[in-house]
Amino acid sequence: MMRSASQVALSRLTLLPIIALVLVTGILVLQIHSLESSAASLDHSDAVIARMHSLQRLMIDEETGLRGYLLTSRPEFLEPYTLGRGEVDGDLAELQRLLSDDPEQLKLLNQIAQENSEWVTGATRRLGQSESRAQIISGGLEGKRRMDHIRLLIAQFIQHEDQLRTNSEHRASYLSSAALAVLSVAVLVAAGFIFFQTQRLYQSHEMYRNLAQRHSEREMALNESEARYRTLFESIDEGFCIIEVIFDQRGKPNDYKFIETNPSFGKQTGLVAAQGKTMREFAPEMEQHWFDMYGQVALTGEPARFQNRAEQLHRWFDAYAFRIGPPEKRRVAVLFQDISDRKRTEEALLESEERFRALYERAPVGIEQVAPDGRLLKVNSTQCAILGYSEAELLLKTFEDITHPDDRATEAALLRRMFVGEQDSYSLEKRYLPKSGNPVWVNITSTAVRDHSGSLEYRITVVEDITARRRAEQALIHAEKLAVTGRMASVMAHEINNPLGAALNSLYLASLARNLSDATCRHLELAQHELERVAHITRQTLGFYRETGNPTKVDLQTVVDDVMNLYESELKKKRIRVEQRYGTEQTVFGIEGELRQILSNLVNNSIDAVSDNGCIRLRVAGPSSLDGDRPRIRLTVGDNGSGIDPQHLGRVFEPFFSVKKSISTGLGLWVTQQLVKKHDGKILIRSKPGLGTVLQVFLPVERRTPNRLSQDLDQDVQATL
Amino acid sequence: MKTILVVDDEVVLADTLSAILQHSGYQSIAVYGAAEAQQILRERTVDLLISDVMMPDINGFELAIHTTRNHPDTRILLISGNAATQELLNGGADQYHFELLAKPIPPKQLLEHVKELLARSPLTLNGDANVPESHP
Repeated sequence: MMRSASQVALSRLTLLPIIALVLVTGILVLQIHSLESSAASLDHSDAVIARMHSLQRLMIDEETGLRGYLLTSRPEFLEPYTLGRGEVDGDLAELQRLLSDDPEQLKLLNQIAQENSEWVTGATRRLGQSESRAQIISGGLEGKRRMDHIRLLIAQFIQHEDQLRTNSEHRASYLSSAALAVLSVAVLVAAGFIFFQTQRLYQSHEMYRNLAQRHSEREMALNESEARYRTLFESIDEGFCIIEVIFDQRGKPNDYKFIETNPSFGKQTGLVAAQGKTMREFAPEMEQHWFDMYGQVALTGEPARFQNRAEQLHRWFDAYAFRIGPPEKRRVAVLFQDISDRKRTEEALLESEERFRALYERAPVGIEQVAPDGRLLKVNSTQCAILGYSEAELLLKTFEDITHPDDRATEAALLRRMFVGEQDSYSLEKRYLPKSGNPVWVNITSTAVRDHSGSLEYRITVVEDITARRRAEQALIHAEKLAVTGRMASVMAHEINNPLGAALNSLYLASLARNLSDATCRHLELAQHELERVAHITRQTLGFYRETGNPTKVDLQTVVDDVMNLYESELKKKRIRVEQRYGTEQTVFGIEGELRQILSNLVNNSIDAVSDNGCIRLRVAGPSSLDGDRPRIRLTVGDNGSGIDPQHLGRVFEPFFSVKKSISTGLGLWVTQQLVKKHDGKILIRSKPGLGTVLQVFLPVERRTPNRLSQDLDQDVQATL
Repeated sequence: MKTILVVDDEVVLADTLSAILQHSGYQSIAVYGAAEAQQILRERTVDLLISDVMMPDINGFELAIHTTRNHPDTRILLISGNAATQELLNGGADQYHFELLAKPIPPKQLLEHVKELLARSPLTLNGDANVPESHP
């Protein structure tokens, strides 16, 4: 750029003398031309004047000659006149010719010529006559006068011509001085210009020199830096290359050429001697996204950083690409690294993490991470499922929030010990409070995670839902209890009944004694009465318990027969009619002894209720199922006895509640209901005073399928069948 | 006078029951085991056998069967404080049909039963309908 400025200056400088020269030449030419014309004009004027002078002389000579002749009549005086004659014409003609371009002078000349011609005429005439002296003198005078006029005209003419001449002279000199002036000015200007330009040239030269110096300095620095960068380029571990993106006709990038590659390029890509070759030459199957990416960088100039896989090279690359050089060159510099190993590690890590995550999430136990202050830091999905909360909800809670109040103290004690460092873990069976529903029994093991100073950072609690187990345990305990109860009952029955019987017998015998006081009789009667009551109670409650209680299929017909047999005498005594009707099915699933007790109690009640000649109806119907429930047989025991008052009807199943007038423990229906419930059955009562009472017992036909375990185990007697 | 044999391994019961029966005008013998009972049965004519069911060794039920077979004239009344009794009885339900009373029985009730039983003919009580009523 510097050069071109000085070049311009230089060219200007070169041009200037040329222009000046041209100018000078022009002026000179003009000058010469004007001088020439002036000279010509001068010559012309001179010629005219000379000719006029000549003419004047001739005319004068003519006049003189004529006068003289006329005066002297000497022929020698006529010579000039005659000679002059022709010459005058000649001069005139010449003058006319000369003055062809000057109409004013020409007019004057013509005037002169006319005057002259008149004088000549006059003269000629005079010649021809003889004149007297006086005439000669007056004629001479006349002629002289005319000649004077001509002389005046000629003088005028000459003066005018002279004037013209002087004008020309002036003009010439003016022109030459003007030319000189212009020339001087031109020279001055040129000089000034040259000076100025030289100054400029010098300046720019100076500038150029500075620039050149700086440039060389910079170049040096650049070289230095280039050297450094080259070292970098050569020595870095990362691959570096400059590529030229190749676009197809539609402007889609589909290849790139390696313009330059650093030594590490080969190591990072596995490609050798890439310079000058294109990517597709090495890997025809290279993924399009590479070309698209570089194409975009080349077109937009926006650098890109990305990680991607090159399948054919079996590598993963982390690359940073930026446009380099002018946009139209479509060159991109790429700094990259082979991260296949890293990627593999990453993937392995991810996979491992995934596995752990799966483990954590899908573990069949709940896992909690609990902060020292009790907040739940993290819970897995199993835990959420156990508790019925979402993870978000749980993370707002502390472990105490979700622990049953009765269990909090126990856990708090264990936790204290963990805090102070006495133990690193504890186990505990406790109840969680789920979002909805009953408390859930769990078995938890909590382990401390400590920091290097030994204080508790957080703890990890593994939660096992033991509801099922507990339920099973409870059922077992319950069954045990029942079994024990049964056994106990059986034993008790035996143990009680015998002494009771003996006591009753003894009292009876005692009452047979003679001479008993009334009081004694009464006492004995009372004693017997009370003992009979006890006997009644035991019969009701302990009567039919057996030692073992495994449910089986029981034929109701048999049970009915047995019970009917039991009450045969009583039924006969009261002359009670018994109607029996059976359906197609008679088998129920249960414990025979207990079923017998159920029926026995009901029949017993009916017998008590009816008066003589009453009627008892027994019916077995079914099976049917209600609401998709397990199928049940319906056993109906009805009587046409006294019926039960509506206000009492709701209480008949209460223990120790009785409406009977005779001895009644009030336990009959209560026990019956318990037994029915135990069989997963249902008992219903309908009664109308004066009309009778009907009891319906629904009993299951078959063994329950295992997944329908009863929920409610906190009650004393539950259906366990 | 009718002879009643009372069998119960509970001595007190057997004795008091026997005393009651005795007082009511029956000839009553109390034994405390089935073996003894069988002995008595062999020696004498017994009109009514009252036996507890739950006894060690030979239980009342077995005794009852034995008695029916060998002493068809003897009426049988079983008493028991145990529900399992009925099970046992059911075991032989198609063949034998014995009266069963549940302990403890109020003496008055027992006496009524006894009276009623003795009024009946032995065969209709103890045997099957198919058993011919040929015996006197």
